[in-house]
Amino acid sequence: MIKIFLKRWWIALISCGITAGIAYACGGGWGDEYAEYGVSNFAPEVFVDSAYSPFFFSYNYYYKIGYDDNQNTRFNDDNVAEWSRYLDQKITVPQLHYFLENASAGAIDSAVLFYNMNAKSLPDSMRSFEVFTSKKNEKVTSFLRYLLLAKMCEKFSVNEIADRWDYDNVKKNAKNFDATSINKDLKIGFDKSTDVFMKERYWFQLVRSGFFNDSPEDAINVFDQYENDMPRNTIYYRTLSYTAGAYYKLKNFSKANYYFSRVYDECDVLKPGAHFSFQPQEESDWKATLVLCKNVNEQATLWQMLGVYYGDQKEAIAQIYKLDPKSDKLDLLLSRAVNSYEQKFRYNASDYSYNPDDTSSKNTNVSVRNLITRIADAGNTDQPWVWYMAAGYLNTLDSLYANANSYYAQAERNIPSNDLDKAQLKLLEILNKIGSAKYIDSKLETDILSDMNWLNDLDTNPEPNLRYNDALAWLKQTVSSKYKTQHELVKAECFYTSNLFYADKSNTEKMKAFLNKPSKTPFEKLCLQLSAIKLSDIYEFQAIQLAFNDSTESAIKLMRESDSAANVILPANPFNGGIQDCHDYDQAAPQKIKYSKLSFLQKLNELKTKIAAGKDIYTNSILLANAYYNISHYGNDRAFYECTILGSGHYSPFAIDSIYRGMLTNMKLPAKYYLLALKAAKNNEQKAKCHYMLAKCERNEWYNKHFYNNKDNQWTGNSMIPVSELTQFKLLKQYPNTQFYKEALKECGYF
Amino acid sequence: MILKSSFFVSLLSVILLCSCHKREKSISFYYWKTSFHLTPQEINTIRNNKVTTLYVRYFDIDMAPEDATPKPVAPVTFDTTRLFFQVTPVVYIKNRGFVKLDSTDIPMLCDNVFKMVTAINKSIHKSPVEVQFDCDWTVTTKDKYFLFLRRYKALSKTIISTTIRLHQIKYPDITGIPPVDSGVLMYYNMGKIGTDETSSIYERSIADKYNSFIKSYPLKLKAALPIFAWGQLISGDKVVKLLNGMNYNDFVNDSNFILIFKNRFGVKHSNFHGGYYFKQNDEVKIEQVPEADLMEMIDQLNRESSGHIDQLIFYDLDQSNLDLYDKNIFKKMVDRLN
Repeated sequence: MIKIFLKRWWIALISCGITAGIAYACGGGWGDEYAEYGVSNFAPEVFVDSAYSPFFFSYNYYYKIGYDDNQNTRFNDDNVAEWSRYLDQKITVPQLHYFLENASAGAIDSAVLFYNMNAKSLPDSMRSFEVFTSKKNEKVTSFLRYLLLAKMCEKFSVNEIADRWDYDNVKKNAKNFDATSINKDLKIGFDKSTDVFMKERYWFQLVRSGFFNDSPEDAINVFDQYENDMPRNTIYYRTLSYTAGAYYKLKNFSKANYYFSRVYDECDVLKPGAHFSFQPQEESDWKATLVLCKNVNEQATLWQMLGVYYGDQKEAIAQIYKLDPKSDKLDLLLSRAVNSYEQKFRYNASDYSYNPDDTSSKNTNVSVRNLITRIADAGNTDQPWVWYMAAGYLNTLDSLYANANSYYAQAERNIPSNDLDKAQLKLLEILNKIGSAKYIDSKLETDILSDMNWLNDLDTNPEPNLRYNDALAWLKQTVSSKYKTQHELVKAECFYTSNLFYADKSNTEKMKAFLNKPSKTPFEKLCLQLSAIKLSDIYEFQAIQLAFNDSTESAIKLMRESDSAANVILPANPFNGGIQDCHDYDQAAPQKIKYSKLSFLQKLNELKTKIAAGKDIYTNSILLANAYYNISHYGNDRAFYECTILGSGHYSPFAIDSIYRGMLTNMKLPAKYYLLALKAAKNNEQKAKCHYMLAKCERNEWYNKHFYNNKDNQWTGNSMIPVSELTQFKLLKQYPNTQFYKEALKECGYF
Repeated sequence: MILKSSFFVSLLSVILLCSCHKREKSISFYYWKTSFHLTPQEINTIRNNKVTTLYVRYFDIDMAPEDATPKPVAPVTFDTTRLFFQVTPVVYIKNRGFVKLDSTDIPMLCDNVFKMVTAINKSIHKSPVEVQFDCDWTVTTKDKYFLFLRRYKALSKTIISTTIRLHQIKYPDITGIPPVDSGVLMYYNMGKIGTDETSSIYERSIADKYNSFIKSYPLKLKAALPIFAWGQLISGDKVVKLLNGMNYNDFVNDSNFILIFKNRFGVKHSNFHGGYYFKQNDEVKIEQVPEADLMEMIDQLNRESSGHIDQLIFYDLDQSNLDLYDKNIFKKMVDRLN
């Protein structure tokens, strides 16, 4: 009997908790905290050619773009621009877009016939195009003739499936296309073309047709035959890509990968596609690819692709460095090696803190550090300062601060006079300085002051290419932890707040004194500025503590001092006590009087005064008890205790810091006043109600003692309360004929 | 009317006769590649083992986080329409497809799957009597998956089977029993993929935790057994990649690798092999199931299933897997089955 009642009750509690949890998550959860590059203080943007941006270290497939998936549209604008130039602007840009991207093969066919005077009418969509009423032009004729064939080639070359569930459509895309006739027409078009612009396009179509239509040999032959006649433009590299693909189909992986590497190196827009297609199969074909290279740069490109695609930056750097220490191919790999290395500074999700002391060899790839420092020491790369800086940073990361310092000094001597470069180096030097400090003395405080001001300025005027957010967070936490070690707890608290600090009353008073201090040194002003906790937060916190200590008058005094909290409105009427605890329902219910945190405390005081004066003790005690119940974690106005120090959005008592959990979950105060009401109760109705309310308190205490006392229960299911053992339920059963009992029964099912 | 009665008498006789005979045990295979093409050895394996029906993966269904609706992934294409055996379509549904899906979208999904399965059947001129769904459903997706199965049955009017994983065998009260005609017990992939010495494919100690629940499972079961191998690339104490289709023989004679112990190789020099890149000092752990383990599985199934399993389906029919075993192994196994 009782089981079902409680089960439903439990669900009500849980569901309200879940609502609060989601609100918390949306209000600033983890999602926004992480950048795609993880934790980083070292921006590749500072020194790596932006053409390599997709390959910067990222947890996404490609940095900033995610996937390279705009195959069908990426050339549209360039294509239109090229045709516009070729046609001497005889067709407008929007019309070219229409011709090239939207018009069907049938429409183009009609247009060709019309233009050649073989047909009388044009498709409606083209009737307004001036080109059809102007004097006939040979280039336009060539364009339309070519476009018709190009549109027909889209049948096999464009992979756009309208309905993925339509198997016949999907299969059609994978099926061979009989290209005999179209290849013939393309070849005629190629032979007849007299200018390289048209020739190159027909050449591209022929190679692509060979690739898609299972004639890779033809694709390669056509490419080889005319390659030398073609300009080195995007169309050329697109053609080269299909030729690489043709070699891949023939399982000539060495040649395929060699061509892909050339596309990757020489055509920025095709870099990601060529990188994606680069797939050596066996060591022998990889070595054969290296042999195909005509120069050191081509070999360096291959090693760079290996380093990026397979994440072996170390090997790639070593090989390229051996080939040419000045190769600019090293830059990208260096940035990736450092960005990968610095992931050891992960956030500790449980307390949102860094673990700067984790220098265990397991997290340190010493061989990478050694390689980078060796290259830095040699000083013979294209940008030696970058290598000094990287070597310095890896040493910082491994807590080898003195080594780091000497590298940073060398970097400073070689750095270009560029603000971004200088800012990057400065950032790393700050990390090293704080990391190495054994003690924070007044001299270091002066440094910290200027560094923090610089970082805060960056916050105001952000430099998008500098990664300083993690450094700033690390800095605050590290300085705080050093202050803790040297027992300067107030400064520690200012740099990185911990609500446990306020569990000690003397700490709270010291913090108040510091915040109240009239004349502050510049460093103290910085502490004040950094402190997440303001004076009003402390007053609010103390007022809440006093309220939970039944010291209402003192609580009122302090709440008044908290200008940020006093007028915060509570979401539900705290003086109502329901049969069920459904916070959403209570909070949505109409309220005649809205209580703020302060007016609530004042009302509490008023009720206490009435009780003390012996006025309507039953009613006033019930109201008081309901209020204390509702401001506890179990009630509808837990918003009363939510504040900067205690936190908010506690989805369950486990989410409350254990040091404050007792205060916010225990039922002593509501029970005290329900008992007072029971004592003053004049009839069975009132007594039934008191017992029922006391039963709720008793139930909550049972969970406090048997469930929330063990953190292992946090992720397990609920445990069932042995209701028969709870005193107040037994006592409630004395009043089965009361209206309250019946209502409770109706509400809860049965018990 | 007379005709009808005599039909039923004949049917009854057939049923009675069947029940008097020894139960037929058969061999089949899963075919899991996206381009259906059989090598001569694969054809011989089908013929020699009298395989009448091949379980062919038709397509996967997935609903990636960025997708609004489930999509078919990599539908199979056949290089021929002349198949000399029957086909049972298998559709693999990624469980996450059901996580995000609303129950009200199930009918649409059913229609789409039915449409696609029918189109693929048509393309190979087959009319399968059964469709199999493969989904590692969980408590949270159970209701939607089962709704899908019920609806598909009503729509297709064919026999419906599903794969059943060991945890679903052990906890039918929690994971539920799919509303289908029969199940295929997936007697593999029972362990975790990890750097330790245990195998993720088959581990006797893990099987023992589940075996005793097979007998009481309330669905008629066939058994799927593993003949595949794979490697795991281990870098910095983590498995960083699965090396599909790679086995012991791929590494043992390659001088870039050194055998550390029985199924583990060290990478001596960074190199490319089998389309994968191996970094110096990484390790490769090979998992493949020796014949003795396959026989042990049969013994366990005999013991734990009360002889109710009448078909062994091997995962999967692939030249590289067949190369790992004696060609008579499948017959030996089915003969060993009670």
